[in-house]
Amino acid sequence: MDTNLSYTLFNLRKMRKEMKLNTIVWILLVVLICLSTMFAENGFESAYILIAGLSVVKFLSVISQFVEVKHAHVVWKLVSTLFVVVYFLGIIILY
Amino acid sequence: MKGKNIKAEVGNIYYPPGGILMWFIIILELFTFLGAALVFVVYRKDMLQEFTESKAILNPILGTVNTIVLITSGYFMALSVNKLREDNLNKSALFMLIGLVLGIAFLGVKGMEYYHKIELGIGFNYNTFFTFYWLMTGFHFVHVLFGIVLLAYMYLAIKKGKYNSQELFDVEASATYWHMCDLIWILIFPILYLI
Repeated sequence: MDTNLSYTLFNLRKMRKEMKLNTIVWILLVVLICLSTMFAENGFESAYILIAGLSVVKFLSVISQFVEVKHAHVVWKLVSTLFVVVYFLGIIILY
Repeated sequence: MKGKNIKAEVGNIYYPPGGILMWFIIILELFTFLGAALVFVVYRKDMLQEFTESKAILNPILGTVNTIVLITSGYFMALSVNKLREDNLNKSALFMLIGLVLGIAFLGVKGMEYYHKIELGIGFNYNTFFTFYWLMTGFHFVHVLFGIVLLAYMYLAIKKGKYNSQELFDVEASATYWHMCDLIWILIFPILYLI
């Protein structure tokens, strides 16, 4: 097979996989958004911890899959993770 | 070679997705909203009754639906970039348009929410909770509005064939900006509406 064609097909397969992953992450996000509201509506005492925790998962899912930080240099992965950890700890400590 | 530019940027510290300048903006914006969110939590502790009563005025179900609308818009934006990398310009433009319409829908719902608040006489100076509410959601609203202008331009440019798998940096940067709006909303929505 021609090298260019092989490379293009490799990329196409990779992109199809990415699109499937995007759909899975989107479904996950919708479920997590609904769960957060359900926890808030139930109003149990530690709901805020769960809601903040779910926000961390949502944030990391969007930044990793949609923004594609998963393909970026480790520094950008660290910056994103550290940021959301500060957010989570800030809420837990200050609440 | 189609798609070669994607591989070239993978893992390069100077080329985060959307470009390093866009990332400086993102970091600046995220930390601004982080600061506001944490100050909000501190004030909430001191004025618990006022914050609890004010939160009850907000509609969390409407907020949840609007969050899903914005996240879905971001999803279509990601699909649009993927389709552009495949040189499928028609699909890329279509997904961009869906993302754009959902973004407008988000602002429409937000506008209705604002109108309802104003009708009730709940303005910027109503109380501390609503000062935060107007500041945080208003600032986010402006970001989304700017994003919509950006997406509209990108949609027209893709339709005209200005971008393709070799020339897509602007589209990637716009997508990153749009996802930043998602990220900010993910942080402020639970603080204002749920917790």
